[in-house]
Amino acid sequence: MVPSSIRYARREAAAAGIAIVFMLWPAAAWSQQVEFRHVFDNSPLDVAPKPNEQFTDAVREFHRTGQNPYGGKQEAIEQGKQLYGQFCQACHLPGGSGGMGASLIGDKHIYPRVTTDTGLFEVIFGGASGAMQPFGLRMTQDQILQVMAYVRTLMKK
Amino acid sequence: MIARQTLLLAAVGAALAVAPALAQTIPQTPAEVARPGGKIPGTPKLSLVKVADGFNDPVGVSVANDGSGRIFVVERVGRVKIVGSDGKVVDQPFLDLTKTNPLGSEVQTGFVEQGLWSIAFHPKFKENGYVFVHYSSLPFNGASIVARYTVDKASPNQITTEQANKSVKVIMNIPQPYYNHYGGRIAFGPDGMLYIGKGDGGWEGDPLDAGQRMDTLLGKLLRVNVDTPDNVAYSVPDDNPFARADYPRMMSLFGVTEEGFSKIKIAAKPEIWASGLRNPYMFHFDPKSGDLFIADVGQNHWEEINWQPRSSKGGENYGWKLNQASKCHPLTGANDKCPIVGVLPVAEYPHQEPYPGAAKLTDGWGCSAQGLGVANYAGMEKTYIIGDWCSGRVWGVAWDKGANKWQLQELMQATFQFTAGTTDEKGYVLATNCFCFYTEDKGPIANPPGGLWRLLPANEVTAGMEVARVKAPN
Repeated sequence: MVPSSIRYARREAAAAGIAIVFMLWPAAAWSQQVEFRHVFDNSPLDVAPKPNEQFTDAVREFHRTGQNPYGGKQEAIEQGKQLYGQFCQACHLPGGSGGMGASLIGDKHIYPRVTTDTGLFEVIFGGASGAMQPFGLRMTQDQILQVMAYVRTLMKK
Repeated sequence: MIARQTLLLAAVGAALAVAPALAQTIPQTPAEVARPGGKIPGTPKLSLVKVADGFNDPVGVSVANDGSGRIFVVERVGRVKIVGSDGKVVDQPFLDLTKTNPLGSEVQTGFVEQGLWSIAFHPKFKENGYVFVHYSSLPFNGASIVARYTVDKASPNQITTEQANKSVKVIMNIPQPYYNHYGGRIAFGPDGMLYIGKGDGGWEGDPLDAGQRMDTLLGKLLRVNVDTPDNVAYSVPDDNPFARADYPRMMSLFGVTEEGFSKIKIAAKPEIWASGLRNPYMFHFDPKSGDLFIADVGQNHWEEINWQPRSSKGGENYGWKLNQASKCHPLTGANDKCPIVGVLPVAEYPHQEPYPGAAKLTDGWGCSAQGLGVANYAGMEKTYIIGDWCSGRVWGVAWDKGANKWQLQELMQATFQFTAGTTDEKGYVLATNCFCFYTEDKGPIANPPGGLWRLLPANEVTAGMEVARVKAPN
């Protein structure tokens, strides 16, 4: 498997230095340093903001580091739980034990990369197969990070 | 007498010994039913190539076989879109049932299994312009309607609202008890009859026992003759298996064989061709042989693929709800025992949990078998292609002449939720995919758009074709 978190050299100035530019020109100033790849064939995923999608600081940080800034943050976990109830639990069941969808609990996963934040994002954002659609078509990336924060709490059970 | 039988058996045995291969047969025991892991000789590496996209919940696809090369994609909301032979989608819908009723849409789409599912073209469409559709009706509280519309030859790419309302003829109105398991596809068989896939009416577990009851059209494959005068909706072909099962007659208690008595089925619906089906959303006739394949969507644990030879006289009972695939229903564990009712499928594949409490499979599973069409190209012979709605797996089902058994082979796994398919005028299998899974459905025009794909041998893919992201089976 091609590593999912290939880090690229920084193409822009330090994040602090371009904060003002983000405010004036947010879309163009977005800079991705982690390359996200589809779980099926490792082809690159396009994580550029959708029309009308405003990246949050958490999304920008995630694109830089590959680490979910919402991990362990209670407020985001609560938000993620709400979204999980809306988009995920009918297949994965409320506790994540799996039904029509795969079990999220434990350390055996259909796609082993989900143990990393980038890998989990790749599967949720880009989709896997069939009913596990690309939820990047339905949720913002900030929402996906919130869902990930909640899913991690299930995985630890 | 015994000596004659022995001689006869010896002669048959000798004939079998030199016979090159047995004709395909229906499995007689569960062990003969094909399961994942098989290999169909001659199947090439395949690719899914995009034909067109931008469809709202595409859930059906047909061709007119009129030489135009047009492909008709059914959108669940109630529209049919044309993809021209140049691959471009015609802006104006071919048929728009959201506009034909001045009080609102003609089509009920409140649940994802509701909507317009299918369009079928009369075998003499080129001459008479007849097209038939099957959908859940809003005015009739979700009942499923089969209706005929007539294309105006002056407007071959659009049945206008005026023309639709002027030409419509209702063929069937089948009340629906629940909002799921409607079935969906309608298609003309090689015999010129219209076949209608009808689900068991819904909920789960077939609470109405519709699959086994012969007094309901639910849970069946129906066969009717639509070549009737305009004031006659349809007629029942005389050779339907239950055409005369409920025929008024005098009662005779003597001089009738037990087999003769068994053919009396009071209240049996004469339209029934096959029974014991749960949700035959997709079925297809092999354009070459005329054989019939039915993809019957299973419940919690198994999917089944049924087959009838062209010579079938109908009347097959596929076992639902007493069996699902070759298994018991309800399934409670790994070693359940029960009688096999009726006719076994030729192939079956499990859900992620093959029985309650089983370890979850990481490979070779699905949840909803959607037949896509019968392939007879690139080395494939009478290979029924199945796309799974949940796992995105593409399977082939075919008779292996060398091994004298049915094979079920996983051909690839796509990212898609497969919904429907057909074969185009050149015989290639077409498939539609949506983003309309139960839990994410936001409505028939709010979901992300779906696409239309063609199953090509990988060596026929050329530069510029958009190929679907797929994974080879493990």
